[in-house]
Amino acid sequence: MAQVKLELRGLTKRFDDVVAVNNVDLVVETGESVVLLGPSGCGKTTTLRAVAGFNRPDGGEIHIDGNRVAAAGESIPPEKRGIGMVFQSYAVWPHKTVDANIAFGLRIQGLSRSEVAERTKKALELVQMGGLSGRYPAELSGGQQQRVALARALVVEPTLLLLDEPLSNLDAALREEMRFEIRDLQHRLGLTMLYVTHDQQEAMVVADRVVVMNLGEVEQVAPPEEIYRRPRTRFVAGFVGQANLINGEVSEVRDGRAWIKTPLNAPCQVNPPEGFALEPGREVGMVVRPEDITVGGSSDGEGVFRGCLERRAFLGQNYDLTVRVGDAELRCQAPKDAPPATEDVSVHIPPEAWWVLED
Amino acid sequence: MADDTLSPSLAGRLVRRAAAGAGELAHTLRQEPIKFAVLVGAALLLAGLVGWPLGTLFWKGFQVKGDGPFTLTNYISVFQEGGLIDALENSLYISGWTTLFSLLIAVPMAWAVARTDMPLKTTITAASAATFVVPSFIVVISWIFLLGPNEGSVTLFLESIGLALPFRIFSREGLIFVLTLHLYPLIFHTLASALSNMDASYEEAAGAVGAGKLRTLWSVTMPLMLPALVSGVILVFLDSLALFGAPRAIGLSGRFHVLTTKIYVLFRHPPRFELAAAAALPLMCFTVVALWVQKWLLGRKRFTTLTGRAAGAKPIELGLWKWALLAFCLLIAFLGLLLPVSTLVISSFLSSWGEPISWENLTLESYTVIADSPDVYTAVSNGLRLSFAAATICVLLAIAIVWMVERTEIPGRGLLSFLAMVPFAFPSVALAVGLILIFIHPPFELYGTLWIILVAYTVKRIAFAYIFARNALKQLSPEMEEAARVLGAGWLRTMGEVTLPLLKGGLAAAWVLIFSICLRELTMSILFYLPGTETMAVIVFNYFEDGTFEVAAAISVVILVISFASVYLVKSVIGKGVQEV
Repeated sequence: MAQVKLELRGLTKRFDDVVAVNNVDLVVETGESVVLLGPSGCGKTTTLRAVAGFNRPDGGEIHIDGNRVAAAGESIPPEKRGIGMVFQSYAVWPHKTVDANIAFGLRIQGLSRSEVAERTKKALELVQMGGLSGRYPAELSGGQQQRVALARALVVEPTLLLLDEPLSNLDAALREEMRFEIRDLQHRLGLTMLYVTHDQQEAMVVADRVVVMNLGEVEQVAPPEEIYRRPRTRFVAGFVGQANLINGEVSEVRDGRAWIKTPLNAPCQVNPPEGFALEPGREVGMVVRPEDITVGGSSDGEGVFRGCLERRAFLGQNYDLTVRVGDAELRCQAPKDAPPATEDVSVHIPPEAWWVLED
Repeated sequence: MADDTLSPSLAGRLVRRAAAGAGELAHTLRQEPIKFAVLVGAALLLAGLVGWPLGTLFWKGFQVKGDGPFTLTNYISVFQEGGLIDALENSLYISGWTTLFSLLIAVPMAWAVARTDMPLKTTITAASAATFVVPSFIVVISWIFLLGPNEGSVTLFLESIGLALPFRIFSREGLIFVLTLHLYPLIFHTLASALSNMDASYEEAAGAVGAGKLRTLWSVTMPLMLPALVSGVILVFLDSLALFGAPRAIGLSGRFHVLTTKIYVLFRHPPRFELAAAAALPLMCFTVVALWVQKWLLGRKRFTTLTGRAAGAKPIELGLWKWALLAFCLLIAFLGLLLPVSTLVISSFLSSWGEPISWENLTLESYTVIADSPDVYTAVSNGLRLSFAAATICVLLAIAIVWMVERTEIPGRGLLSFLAMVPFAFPSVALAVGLILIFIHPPFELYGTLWIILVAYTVKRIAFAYIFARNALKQLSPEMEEAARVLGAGWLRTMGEVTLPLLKGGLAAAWVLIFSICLRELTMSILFYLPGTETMAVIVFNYFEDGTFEVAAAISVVILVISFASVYLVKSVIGKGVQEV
């Protein structure tokens, strides 16, 4: 069984009257990459900063490698936690060269001059910055500065690496490249990472498990695929990827199938969810992803609805469509070479495309 | 939020916040004892240095007759006996007229520089900034040299063509003349910078609905400029009340006192500190009232004129009038700066005061006198040591206080900020009285030593360091410090390796500014000095009072060179915007 690196037990943090983090439990295992994902103000950065030691929890405990580093009102300072951190603003010191930035943590540890030099050089090569050791940060691009920040955090071989929106100040192309690079480093070095972002795609690439947070609470903890395919709550479904959220009432359960009455103009047939039972009369929320809906095609059969095309936009790889079906609007996709030709369209949603929410 | 009553939830919040703050303090003590020691030590030092003397001053000021109960009649009788009523009257008369004349000079100049097509704007601005760099006790020596009743150059020249000055220099009117030319830049600069930051579309809007230039000026521009105008007026009023050098130099021969010179006398012949405290009280009251008026006036309306898109404002074309305006501005700049400074330089080379200016009468004698004088040597050495120490203590203390205010939740941060800022607006003489009341007795019997002067300099100038350090720290992302902390550096090491090096520019500017201002400080130095603790300004004044004007002028020239050199240094370190402080 894998070793537990970090454990949060009922972590709670208040700022004045506002509860920023409310009773959060989380276990991160050694070598695992866990991403805290959520909109701004959801408490993800506050959680990360509590782990780093930059704020004191009002309740709960934080354990690193089995040692309690923080409890309600008590918190050992960041320099005694053996962690590494990469900041949103990079926080590369402008008055020190690239070399001096990276060497700082090693100097603090009191290592010999030659060892500092050697490990600094290795760290620079690790982030592909070999030739730039004597430069000052002002002479580097944003991407290069972020690499320096990464090398500075990695060179001390931290037991746990914290990353706070590390890519959000980079341009889109570089951001995409760096996601894979960070993921690759994490695999190669066997790093344990706690990574904060509001960007779901970034979370998907970087995470072994994603923690979706909202209003200071954890909504769901699961691997990326599960977060997308089987969101536990309305919030997760809406926040991760595009989703059509439909409310309905169970009208019939028969032969391992369920029929739900919804604002759509016909009952929806769904596969019953695992873990909880559907009985007639129960109100449920359901999710269907735009790419799981087929527009056009045969006009009758199981799961086929009549709809009216309200809006369409060409996005390059596909068409983004809005179709009115009964009293509901559905976001759908159509392949780039087969847009619907008429206003009246048929919409096909197979039973397995529906996901029934637990809440 | 705008609830006037202290609602239960607000009270609860305050209690909770105080508890949280106390918790943080205790937590810091447990986990980071060095940080705790430094921050709490700095806070206590500041409270002691500022809070103790000011508190004592207010306390003693109201207890004029020892232990007896406080009554107003009692107080008034003390006032009359000391001749304080006359001094108070003179102070108000002089400050009132100085403020009015400064306003009359500064408003058209500021408008011309910020809004019109008058040429030589930069020259005018630079000249009026430099005017304020020259201390008033130096300016006044030049004016006495020029306008003195018997041997003043201008007086003699006017007599030779059958004219006379409209006022005597050794009179309240003479003092108003000198102070106006010295202090008008305070209004000029606040107003000119507000005018050039103002959104010109307000004026364009008035023009579009058919208002003429004058009407626009009166009904749109002036009301929008009220905040800047009020600040400038209050600065001039308070500064002219608090000045000591010029009023002493003129009042001595003119046989009148203002509050500051009266306090000086009460310090010296013989010392009667309780009366000095009573005399300081009106000064403090004016300060408090003026600042309160400013806050009240500016708080009533929202002034949102600073949109940052003022660059496009088109200068108003004045036609031929611009030459008249330029002549006026140049005249003021000439009278405020060029004439006094050049007079001072020339008279420092004169073999003796009152000789006509000719090649035969120019010597280096005064400079040899000061180079050979042990008094001057002591004064220069005292001045350098005091200024160096005061600037260093101010900067170090300020950085600790600012860090605590900006980066922690420790309770009482607002009070610390207030303590650091309040001596800035506080008259030097009043501060000096407060300090003497403490340091005349054991356990801190510092009167007559350099230490009391050091404390005075530090307290008076801590605000400069505080403002510079706060502005610098606000621009420094906390993540810069946090990055060092996670890498294993403790608080002190992080401050030393990351925070201080990154704040270097702002701190260096504050240091140089405080150093140069302390080097020429007169008011508190002269109240505290005893033989052996003179500073440069005190020596200037003593030579002046002895009638050795040319030596006083020579030392003044040295002070001026140092002052301008350090202002230049500050400007090259941090760029523009120094004059505002």
